[in-house]
Amino acid sequence: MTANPLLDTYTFLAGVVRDDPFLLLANAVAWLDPLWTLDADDMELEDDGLGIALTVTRRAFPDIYAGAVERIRAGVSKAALDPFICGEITRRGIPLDNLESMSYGIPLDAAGALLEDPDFYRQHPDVVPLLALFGIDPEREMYTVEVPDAAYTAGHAVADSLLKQPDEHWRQVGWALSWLYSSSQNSVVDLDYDSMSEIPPLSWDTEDVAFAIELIEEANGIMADVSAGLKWLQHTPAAFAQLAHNVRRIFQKMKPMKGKAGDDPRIRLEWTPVGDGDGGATVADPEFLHVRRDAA
Amino acid sequence: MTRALWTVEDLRECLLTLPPLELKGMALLRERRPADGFFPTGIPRATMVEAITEITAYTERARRMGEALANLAPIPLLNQPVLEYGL
Repeated sequence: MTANPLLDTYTFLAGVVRDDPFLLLANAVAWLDPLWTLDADDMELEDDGLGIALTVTRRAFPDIYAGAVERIRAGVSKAALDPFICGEITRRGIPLDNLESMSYGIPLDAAGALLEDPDFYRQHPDVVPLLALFGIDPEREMYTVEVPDAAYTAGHAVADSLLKQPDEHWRQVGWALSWLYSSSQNSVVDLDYDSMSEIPPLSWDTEDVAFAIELIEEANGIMADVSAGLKWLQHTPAAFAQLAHNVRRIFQKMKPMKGKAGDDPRIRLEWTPVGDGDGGATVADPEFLHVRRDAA
Repeated sequence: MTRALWTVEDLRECLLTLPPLELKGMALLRERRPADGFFPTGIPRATMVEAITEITAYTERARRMGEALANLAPIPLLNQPVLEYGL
Protein backbone atom coordinates (compact mmCIF):
# COMPACT_ATOMS: atom_id res chain seq x y z
CA MET A 1 0.00 0.00 0.00
CA THR A 2 1.47 3.37 -1.04
CA ALA A 3 1.45 6.44 1.26
CA ASN A 4 -1.07 9.21 0.64
CA PRO A 5 0.85 11.95 -1.27
CA LEU A 6 -1.37 14.63 0.28
CA LEU A 7 -0.21 13.65 3.77
CA ASP A 8 3.38 13.66 2.55
CA THR A 9 2.81 17.21 1.30
CA TYR A 10 1.94 18.38 4.83
CA THR A 11 5.12 16.85 6.21
CA PHE A 12 7.14 18.36 3.38
CA LEU A 13 5.67 21.84 3.91
CA ALA A 14 6.17 21.60 7.68
CA GLY A 15 9.83 20.80 7.04
CA VAL A 16 10.22 23.74 4.69
CA VAL A 17 8.67 26.10 7.22
CA ARG A 18 10.93 24.77 9.95
CA ASP A 19 14.10 25.17 7.91
CA ASP A 20 13.44 28.59 6.38
CA PRO A 21 14.02 31.41 8.92
CA PHE A 22 11.64 33.80 7.16
CA LEU A 23 8.77 31.30 7.01
CA LEU A 24 9.46 30.19 10.56
CA LEU A 25 9.29 33.79 11.75
CA ALA A 26 6.02 34.36 9.87
CA ASN A 27 4.60 31.21 11.42
CA ALA A 28 5.72 32.24 14.91
CA VAL A 29 4.13 35.67 14.51
CA ALA A 30 0.84 34.10 13.39
CA TRP A 31 0.95 31.85 16.44
CA LEU A 32 2.08 34.26 19.14
CA ASP A 33 1.10 37.73 17.93
CA PRO A 34 -2.01 37.15 15.81
CA LEU A 35 -3.13 40.80 15.97
CA TRP A 36 0.18 42.28 14.88
CA THR A 37 -1.31 44.05 11.85
CA LEU A 38 -4.34 45.41 13.69
CA ASP A 39 -4.58 48.76 15.34
CA ALA A 40 -7.21 49.76 17.90
CA ASP A 41 -8.19 52.62 15.59
CA ASP A 42 -9.20 50.06 12.96
CA MET A 43 -11.65 48.40 15.31
CA GLU A 44 -15.27 49.45 15.10
CA LEU A 45 -17.32 50.10 18.21
CA GLU A 46 -19.63 47.25 17.34
CA ASP A 47 -16.77 44.78 17.17
CA ASP A 48 -16.72 42.32 20.00
CA GLY A 49 -15.17 43.43 23.26
CA LEU A 50 -12.45 40.80 23.21
CA GLY A 51 -11.07 41.98 19.86
CA ILE A 52 -10.89 45.55 21.09
CA ALA A 53 -9.43 44.45 24.41
CA LEU A 54 -6.66 42.51 22.67
CA THR A 55 -5.73 45.37 20.35
CA VAL A 56 -5.79 47.83 23.25
CA THR A 57 -3.76 45.64 25.60
CA ARG A 58 -1.26 44.87 22.85
CA ARG A 59 -0.47 48.58 22.66
CA ALA A 60 -1.02 49.77 26.24
CA PHE A 61 -0.34 46.66 28.36
CA PRO A 62 1.85 44.23 26.34
CA ASP A 63 2.24 41.86 29.30
CA ILE A 64 -1.54 41.53 29.69
CA TYR A 65 -1.79 40.89 25.94
CA ALA A 66 0.83 38.17 26.28
CA GLY A 67 -1.13 36.58 29.10
CA ALA A 68 -4.36 36.73 27.08
CA VAL A 69 -2.83 35.23 23.93
CA GLU A 70 -1.26 32.47 26.00
CA ARG A 71 -4.70 31.65 27.44
CA ILE A 72 -6.29 31.71 23.99
CA ARG A 73 -3.67 29.28 22.69
CA ALA A 74 -4.22 27.11 25.76
CA GLY A 75 -7.93 26.90 24.89
CA VAL A 76 -9.31 29.21 27.60
CA SER A 77 -12.86 30.36 26.82
CA LYS A 78 -13.81 33.93 26.01
CA ALA A 79 -15.93 34.01 29.15
CA ALA A 80 -12.84 33.31 31.23
CA LEU A 81 -10.71 35.83 29.36
CA ASP A 82 -13.05 38.71 30.23
CA PRO A 83 -12.38 38.63 34.00
CA PHE A 84 -8.68 37.99 33.40
CA ILE A 85 -8.18 41.10 31.24
CA CYS A 86 -10.52 43.27 33.34
CA GLY A 87 -8.83 42.14 36.55
CA GLU A 88 -5.34 42.86 35.23
CA ILE A 89 -6.25 46.32 33.92
CA THR A 90 -8.03 47.10 37.20
CA ARG A 91 -4.90 46.03 39.05
CA ARG A 92 -2.92 48.61 37.05
CA GLY A 93 -5.19 51.39 38.33
CA ILE A 94 -8.04 51.63 35.81
CA PRO A 95 -11.17 49.95 37.22
CA LEU A 96 -12.87 47.96 34.46
CA ASP A 97 -16.09 45.97 34.84
CA ASN A 98 -16.32 44.41 31.39
CA LEU A 99 -14.49 44.39 28.07
CA GLU A 100 -17.35 46.05 26.18
CA SER A 101 -16.77 49.27 28.11
CA MET A 102 -13.30 49.55 26.57
CA SER A 103 -14.80 50.50 23.20
CA TYR A 104 -15.49 54.07 24.23
CA GLY A 105 -12.05 54.87 25.63
CA ILE A 106 -10.85 54.75 29.20
CA PRO A 107 -13.89 54.55 31.51
CA LEU A 108 -13.75 57.10 34.31
CA ASP A 109 -15.99 57.34 37.35
CA ALA A 110 -17.79 60.61 37.98
CA ALA A 111 -18.02 61.30 41.71
CA GLY A 112 -19.04 64.95 41.36
CA ALA A 113 -21.58 66.34 43.83
CA LEU A 114 -24.96 67.40 42.44
CA LEU A 115 -26.05 69.93 45.02
CA GLU A 116 -29.24 70.82 43.11
CA ASP A 117 -30.42 67.21 43.01
CA PRO A 118 -32.50 66.03 46.02
CA ASP A 119 -31.35 62.44 45.37
CA PHE A 120 -27.80 63.48 46.14
CA TYR A 121 -28.77 64.18 49.76
CA ARG A 122 -30.55 60.85 50.06
CA GLN A 123 -27.35 59.12 48.95
CA HIS A 124 -25.13 61.34 51.12
CA PRO A 125 -27.12 62.29 54.23
CA ASP A 126 -23.88 62.99 56.09
CA VAL A 127 -23.29 66.20 54.10
CA VAL A 128 -26.62 67.81 55.04
CA PRO A 129 -25.47 69.41 58.36
CA LEU A 130 -22.30 70.69 56.69
CA LEU A 131 -24.13 72.26 53.74
CA ALA A 132 -26.73 73.74 56.07
CA LEU A 133 -23.94 76.04 57.30
CA PHE A 134 -23.87 77.48 53.76
CA GLY A 135 -27.62 78.02 53.59
CA ILE A 136 -28.41 74.89 51.59
CA ASP A 137 -31.52 73.06 52.77
CA PRO A 138 -32.52 70.04 50.66
CA GLU A 139 -35.81 69.69 52.60
CA ARG A 140 -37.07 73.05 51.39
CA GLU A 141 -37.75 72.03 47.76
CA MET A 142 -39.03 68.76 46.42
CA TYR A 143 -37.60 68.68 42.89
CA THR A 144 -34.62 71.04 42.82
CA VAL A 145 -32.53 72.18 45.72
CA GLU A 146 -31.76 75.87 45.63
CA VAL A 147 -28.04 76.55 45.95
CA PRO A 148 -27.27 80.28 46.26
CA ASP A 149 -24.21 81.61 44.47
CA ALA A 150 -22.96 82.84 47.83
CA ALA A 151 -22.76 79.24 49.00
CA TYR A 152 -20.28 78.47 46.23
CA THR A 153 -18.30 81.63 46.95
CA ALA A 154 -18.08 80.88 50.65
CA GLY A 155 -17.50 77.16 50.06
CA HIS A 156 -14.55 77.79 47.75
CA ALA A 157 -13.09 80.31 50.16
CA VAL A 158 -13.31 78.00 53.18
CA ALA A 159 -11.97 75.05 51.20
CA ASP A 160 -9.00 77.09 49.95
CA SER A 161 -8.21 78.16 53.49
CA LEU A 162 -8.52 74.66 54.94
CA LEU A 163 -6.32 73.06 52.29
CA LYS A 164 -3.47 75.31 53.43
CA GLN A 165 -3.68 74.11 57.03
CA PRO A 166 -0.93 71.93 58.52
CA ASP A 167 -3.50 69.91 60.48
CA GLU A 168 -4.52 66.83 58.52
CA HIS A 169 -8.11 66.77 59.79
CA TRP A 170 -8.76 70.31 58.63
CA ARG A 171 -7.20 69.58 55.24
CA GLN A 172 -9.52 66.59 54.94
CA VAL A 173 -12.49 68.86 55.65
CA GLY A 174 -11.07 71.16 52.97
CA TRP A 175 -11.15 68.29 50.48
CA ALA A 176 -14.73 67.52 51.52
CA LEU A 177 -15.72 71.09 50.67
CA SER A 178 -13.68 70.97 47.44
CA TRP A 179 -15.67 67.90 46.44
CA LEU A 180 -19.02 69.44 47.38
CA TYR A 181 -18.27 72.67 45.50
CA SER A 182 -16.47 70.97 42.59
CA SER A 183 -13.21 72.84 43.05
CA SER A 184 -10.70 70.03 43.56
CA GLN A 185 -9.30 70.41 40.00
CA ASN A 186 -9.67 66.66 39.54
CA SER A 187 -12.28 65.77 36.88
CA VAL A 188 -13.25 62.47 38.49
CA VAL A 189 -13.98 64.26 41.77
CA ASP A 190 -15.56 67.41 40.34
CA LEU A 191 -17.71 66.16 37.45
CA ASP A 192 -21.04 64.41 37.71
CA TYR A 193 -21.95 61.66 35.26
CA ASP A 194 -23.70 63.96 32.75
CA SER A 195 -20.85 66.46 32.67
CA MET A 196 -18.30 63.67 32.30
CA SER A 197 -20.29 62.26 29.37
CA GLU A 198 -19.93 65.53 27.50
CA ILE A 199 -16.14 65.33 27.55
CA PRO A 200 -14.39 63.20 24.90
CA PRO A 201 -13.06 60.14 26.73
CA LEU A 202 -9.37 59.48 27.12
CA SER A 203 -8.02 57.09 24.50
CA TRP A 204 -6.04 53.95 25.28
CA ASP A 205 -2.82 55.54 24.02
CA THR A 206 0.09 55.05 26.37
CA GLU A 207 0.15 58.72 27.45
CA ASP A 208 -3.59 58.81 28.12
CA VAL A 209 -3.37 55.56 30.09
CA ALA A 210 -0.61 57.00 32.28
CA PHE A 211 -2.65 60.19 32.78
CA ALA A 212 -5.81 58.22 33.63
CA ILE A 213 -3.97 56.11 36.21
CA GLU A 214 -2.61 59.28 37.84
CA LEU A 215 -6.03 60.96 37.72
CA ILE A 216 -7.82 57.97 39.27
CA GLU A 217 -5.17 57.50 41.95
CA GLU A 218 -5.40 61.17 42.90
CA ALA A 219 -9.22 61.01 42.92
CA ASN A 220 -9.13 57.96 45.18
CA GLY A 221 -6.88 59.82 47.58
CA ILE A 222 -9.11 62.89 47.56
CA MET A 223 -12.29 60.87 48.08
CA ALA A 224 -10.65 59.01 50.97
CA ASP A 225 -9.84 62.40 52.52
CA VAL A 226 -13.41 63.56 51.83
CA SER A 227 -14.78 60.56 53.68
CA ALA A 228 -12.35 60.99 56.58
CA GLY A 229 -13.07 64.72 56.81
CA LEU A 230 -16.84 64.25 56.91
CA LYS A 231 -16.53 61.50 59.50
CA TRP A 232 -14.25 63.66 61.66
CA LEU A 233 -16.68 66.58 61.53
CA GLN A 234 -19.55 64.26 62.50
CA HIS A 235 -17.71 62.96 65.54
CA THR A 236 -15.98 66.16 66.60
CA PRO A 237 -18.54 68.78 67.66
CA ALA A 238 -15.81 71.27 68.55
CA ALA A 239 -14.48 71.15 65.02
CA PHE A 240 -17.95 71.51 63.54
CA ALA A 241 -18.59 74.54 65.77
CA GLN A 242 -15.32 76.13 64.67
CA LEU A 243 -16.17 75.55 61.03
CA ALA A 244 -19.63 77.02 61.56
CA HIS A 245 -18.06 80.09 63.17
CA ASN A 246 -15.69 80.68 60.25
CA VAL A 247 -18.44 80.13 57.65
CA ARG A 248 -20.58 82.71 59.50
CA ARG A 249 -17.67 85.15 59.43
CA ILE A 250 -17.30 84.76 55.70
CA PHE A 251 -21.00 85.31 55.08
CA GLN A 252 -20.97 88.38 57.34
CA LYS A 253 -18.02 89.78 55.43
CA MET A 254 -19.72 89.08 52.10
CA LYS A 255 -23.02 90.69 53.09
CA PRO A 256 -22.11 94.38 52.75
CA MET A 257 -20.25 93.66 49.50
CA LYS A 258 -23.31 92.27 47.79
CA GLY A 259 -24.01 94.04 44.55
CA LYS A 260 -21.27 96.59 45.08
CA ALA A 261 -18.22 97.17 42.99
CA GLY A 262 -14.82 97.32 44.60
CA ASP A 263 -11.98 95.16 45.82
CA ASP A 264 -12.61 91.67 47.09
CA PRO A 265 -12.92 91.56 50.85
CA ARG A 266 -10.11 89.93 52.82
CA ILE A 267 -10.70 87.67 55.79
CA ARG A 268 -8.23 85.99 58.08
CA LEU A 269 -9.63 82.63 59.16
CA GLU A 270 -8.21 80.75 62.11
CA TRP A 271 -8.32 76.99 62.50
CA THR A 272 -7.45 75.40 65.81
CA PRO A 273 -6.41 71.75 65.71
CA VAL A 274 -9.00 69.70 67.53
CA GLY A 275 -8.89 66.16 68.88
CA ASP A 276 -5.65 64.36 68.13
CA GLY A 277 -4.10 67.48 66.59
CA ASP A 278 -1.00 69.30 67.77
CA GLY A 279 -2.28 70.42 71.14
CA GLY A 280 -4.77 73.04 70.18
CA ALA A 281 -2.50 75.83 69.00
CA THR A 282 -4.31 78.33 66.82
CA VAL A 283 -3.14 78.30 63.22
CA ALA A 284 -4.07 81.23 61.08
CA ASP A 285 -4.53 81.13 57.40
CA PRO A 286 -1.02 81.91 56.10
CA GLU A 287 -2.35 84.71 53.97
CA PHE A 288 -5.38 86.89 53.96
CA LEU A 289 -8.22 85.08 52.31
CA HIS A 290 -9.74 86.58 49.21
CA VAL A 291 -13.44 86.05 48.89
CA ARG A 292 -14.23 86.41 45.25
CA ARG A 293 -17.77 87.37 44.44
CA ASP A 294 -17.45 86.04 40.92
CA ALA A 295 -16.40 82.55 41.98
CA ALA A 296 -19.06 79.92 41.42
CA MET B 1 40.53 58.53 -1.90
CA THR B 2 39.15 55.23 -3.25
CA ARG B 3 35.50 55.32 -4.25
CA ALA B 4 33.77 51.97 -3.97
CA LEU B 5 31.18 51.17 -6.62
CA TRP B 6 28.10 49.52 -5.13
CA THR B 7 25.32 47.76 -6.92
CA VAL B 8 21.93 46.73 -5.58
CA GLU B 9 23.20 43.16 -5.63
CA ASP B 10 26.09 44.16 -3.38
CA LEU B 11 23.62 45.70 -1.00
CA ARG B 12 21.43 42.60 -1.04
CA GLU B 13 24.38 40.30 -0.41
CA CYS B 14 25.50 42.50 2.44
CA LEU B 15 22.10 42.21 4.08
CA LEU B 16 22.00 38.45 3.49
CA THR B 17 25.22 37.99 5.43
CA LEU B 18 23.41 39.08 8.58
CA PRO B 19 22.65 36.06 10.77
CA PRO B 20 18.98 34.98 10.74
CA LEU B 21 16.87 36.34 13.58
CA GLU B 22 16.20 33.78 16.28
CA LEU B 23 13.28 34.43 18.59
CA LYS B 24 12.05 32.16 21.37
CA GLY B 25 8.81 31.56 19.51
CA MET B 26 10.70 30.34 16.45
CA ALA B 27 12.73 27.94 18.57
CA LEU B 28 9.56 26.62 20.19
CA LEU B 29 7.99 26.06 16.78
CA ARG B 30 11.06 24.28 15.49
CA GLU B 31 11.43 22.04 18.52
CA ARG B 32 7.85 21.44 19.64
CA ARG B 33 5.74 21.54 16.49
CA PRO B 34 3.32 18.60 16.61
CA ALA B 35 3.20 16.14 13.74
CA ASP B 36 -0.54 16.59 13.34
CA GLY B 37 -1.09 20.29 13.98
CA PHE B 38 0.08 23.79 13.32
CA PHE B 39 1.08 25.05 16.73
CA PRO B 40 2.76 23.39 19.72
CA THR B 41 0.66 22.73 22.81
CA GLY B 42 1.45 22.01 26.43
CA ILE B 43 4.14 24.66 26.72
CA PRO B 44 4.48 26.14 30.23
CA ARG B 45 2.62 29.42 30.72
CA ALA B 46 5.72 31.39 31.70
CA THR B 47 7.60 30.22 28.59
CA MET B 48 4.68 31.16 26.36
CA VAL B 49 4.30 34.60 27.93
CA GLU B 50 8.02 35.20 27.51
CA ALA B 51 7.90 34.20 23.83
CA ILE B 52 4.79 36.29 23.16
CA THR B 53 6.28 39.34 24.89
CA GLU B 54 9.45 39.03 22.84
CA ILE B 55 7.73 38.55 19.50
CA THR B 56 5.22 41.37 20.16
CA ALA B 57 8.10 43.74 20.87
CA TYR B 58 9.77 42.53 17.67
CA THR B 59 6.70 43.02 15.46
CA GLU B 60 6.19 46.49 16.92
CA ARG B 61 9.80 47.41 16.15
CA ALA B 62 9.40 46.02 12.65
CA ARG B 63 6.16 47.96 12.13
CA ARG B 64 7.75 51.21 13.26
CA MET B 65 10.78 50.57 11.08
CA GLY B 66 8.49 49.94 8.09
CA GLU B 67 6.69 53.22 8.72
CA ALA B 68 9.98 55.06 9.06
CA LEU B 69 11.32 53.61 5.82
CA ALA B 70 8.10 54.45 4.01
CA ASN B 71 8.57 58.08 4.99
CA LEU B 72 12.32 58.24 4.54
CA ALA B 73 13.57 61.44 2.96
CA PRO B 74 16.02 61.01 0.04
CA ILE B 75 19.65 60.74 1.16
CA PRO B 76 22.27 61.94 -1.32
CA LEU B 77 25.10 59.36 -1.53
CA LEU B 78 28.09 61.53 -2.27
CA ASN B 79 30.82 58.97 -1.64
CA GLN B 80 29.07 55.64 -2.31
CA PRO B 81 27.66 55.62 -5.84
CA VAL B 82 25.08 52.92 -6.46
CA LEU B 83 25.11 52.54 -10.23
CA GLU B 84 21.47 51.49 -10.68
CA TYR B 85 20.24 54.70 -9.08
CA GLY B 86 22.71 57.12 -10.64
CA LEU B 87 21.29 60.19 -12.27
